Amino acid sequence: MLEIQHLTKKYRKLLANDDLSFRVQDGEVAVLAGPNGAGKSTAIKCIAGLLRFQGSVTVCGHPNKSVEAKRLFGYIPEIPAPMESLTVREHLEFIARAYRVEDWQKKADVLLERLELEDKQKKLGGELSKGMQQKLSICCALLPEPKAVLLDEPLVGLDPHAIKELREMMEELRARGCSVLVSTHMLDTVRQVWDRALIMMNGKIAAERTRREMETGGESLEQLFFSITEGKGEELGSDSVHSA
Amino acid sequence: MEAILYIARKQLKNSAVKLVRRPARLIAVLASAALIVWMLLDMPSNSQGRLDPAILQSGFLVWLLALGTITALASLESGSSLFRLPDVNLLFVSPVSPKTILAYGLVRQTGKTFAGFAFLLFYSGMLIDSFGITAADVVTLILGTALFLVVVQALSLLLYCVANRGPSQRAAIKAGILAVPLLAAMYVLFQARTGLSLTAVIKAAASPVLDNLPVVGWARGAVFAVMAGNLSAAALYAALTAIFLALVIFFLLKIDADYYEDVLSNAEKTFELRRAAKEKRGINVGRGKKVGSTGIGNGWGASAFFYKHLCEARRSSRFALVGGSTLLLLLVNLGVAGIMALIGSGKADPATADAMLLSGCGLSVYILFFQNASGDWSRELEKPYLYLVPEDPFRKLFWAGLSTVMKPAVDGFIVFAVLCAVLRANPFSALACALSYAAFGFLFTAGGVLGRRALGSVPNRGVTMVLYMMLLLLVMSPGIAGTLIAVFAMKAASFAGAAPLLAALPLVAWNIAASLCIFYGCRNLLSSWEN
Repeated sequence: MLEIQHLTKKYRKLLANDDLSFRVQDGEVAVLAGPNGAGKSTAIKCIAGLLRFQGSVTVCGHPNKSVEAKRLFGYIPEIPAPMESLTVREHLEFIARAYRVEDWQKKADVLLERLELEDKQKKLGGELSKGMQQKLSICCALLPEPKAVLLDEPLVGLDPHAIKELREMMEELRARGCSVLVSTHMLDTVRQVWDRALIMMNGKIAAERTRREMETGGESLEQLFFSITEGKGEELGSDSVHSA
Repeated sequence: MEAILYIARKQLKNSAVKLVRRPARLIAVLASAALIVWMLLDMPSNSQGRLDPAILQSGFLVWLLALGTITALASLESGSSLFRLPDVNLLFVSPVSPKTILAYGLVRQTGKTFAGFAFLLFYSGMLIDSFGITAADVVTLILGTALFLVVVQALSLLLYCVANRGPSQRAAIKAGILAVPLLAAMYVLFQARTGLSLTAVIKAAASPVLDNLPVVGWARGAVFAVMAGNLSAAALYAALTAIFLALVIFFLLKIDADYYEDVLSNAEKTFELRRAAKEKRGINVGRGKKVGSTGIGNGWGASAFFYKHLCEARRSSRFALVGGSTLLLLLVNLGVAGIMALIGSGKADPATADAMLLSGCGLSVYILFFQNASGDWSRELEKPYLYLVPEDPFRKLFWAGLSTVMKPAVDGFIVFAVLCAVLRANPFSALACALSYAAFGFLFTAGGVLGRRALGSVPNRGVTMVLYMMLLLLVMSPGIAGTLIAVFAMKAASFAGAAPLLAALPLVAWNIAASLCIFYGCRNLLSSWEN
């Protein structure tokens, strides 16, 4: 489980994340949506332990910056950053060694095959196209079989086959009891997989809904998104935010 | 034309406003300018100079030839760097005449080249003192270099357009570019063939005959004519260069070359590089890197970083940590020894082999300071894995920094051992140099860690660089003081026996101890990306 409590992130005078609190249960896919500049990527980076912040973030009960938490989560960054001089397969070998993953070869083969990278195994990271770099990034994040996965705009640059595979992977992660948090502003791409939606606006969680709540209320994710981002919907603030 | 002038005006204004809004940068710019002016005006003039003026004349020709050849060959591969991607996206598709856009590109590039070469003014003191020239002469040398480069860049654009017509044109142009330095070298060797010595080579390279070489010779001729007060000769060379530039522009516009397409590739590459730098990520600029044997093969947990670095090093060089940079270091040291031998050749007390070794070591440490910022360790900081890997931050810090610490140690021992054999120097002096070089490598790596902890990022330029240098000087000062005390106590200036090694030990020991303390003190650095 991923638990975020009162997460606040300031860059000098800019308040990028303002007192965010939410929870992603085991076996749940949460989508963190919002317009450009809403603070989604900053929140994901704080949760991944890459940025300093106020508040608390725990991964399966461990503080996110602890070694135990790092062992349990996988992170797919917005901008893939492969090692220029390592081959695709060596990236996975490196992750396996660094995360102490036993019997990694078969797991790596499966991931590479699913993301159509098996014929690129001897290609250097710097020679890959942006889409392939993103696929490699996904393989690296999933190889240690994490219990919580953070995906920052994961579908940008992927081809239709990879998008389909990634959606299926998210469903499999959910079925395995993994907590998945996806940051995106492309709502169409996550329509089939989300269980919980968190809409961010101006650094705050402006609304939080489960799929069941939305279906009961007859509201679509797009309607909620636009009602908030175009200022016609609920006011920002705790009154309108469903507590997690 | 109006649109171009508007862009130029706005860009100038906005750059000035940006500078004023960043007081730290403004202070750094003003301080640098003040330092340059002070160096230029306050340097005591030495009318004689310690070195033969022929060295300056020949050295300037080599400098121009190297700059021109490298620029022309690089442009031939990837297109001119006159334009950036915003120019391509906004100007090239606009109804502004290509000629106007080309003129704008050239004028802007001239300004940038001047600004880019301003850093050379920091070396003005050395030039004034060594060659007995004036501050105005130094400015002339730098202006001459910048103007020469502008002409070369315009020529490169023309050559690139022609080369794109086919492989035979490309090969012919490449041969033509390489023929210029080759011709100059052949002339010099021919002139110096009787009694071939470094002095004879320098005299031949300084010959006014070489001022007839197109562009490069004219540029040198104009610069040294101005310095000698021979304005008619200077005007002649300047006129030849101006006519050449006019011809280049004329042909560029007449050959019906679609230079838009030709600059696009380089503009895209430059844009991607700049964006990658801003986003703190690397980009593969090299082409066709050989993969060779694959697999990291070793390491478990944090140590996987070290073995990954070794694997990456194998891709750059067959012998992993020993490669092109080792050879370059050796050449720099041989160059220092050669120059010192040349300076001392006519004197009663020529430089000893040990003095050459120590001087080379000093220069190597200076270069290492700048090289260290691009080591494995700093590249690793740009990737998220160093922060994400579930290992103790101190262990990660140690293993991720190990290859960066080992590289200068390996380089130092190889280079100074070879130099010791070549110069027949005292082995203890060579050992002292190797140990000092390795210890400085360790300290600079630790300094990078400290700089990131204290200043928030790996210092690489501007005010943070100045602060970082001051911080390092402060850290290393007890070691330097210790070595100076040892030198005076042992009267080790004679370099006899083990004296050089004993004198270097306080510095080496202090640098290692200080580095270990810094590493330990900053052990939690990798707990988050942001510091």
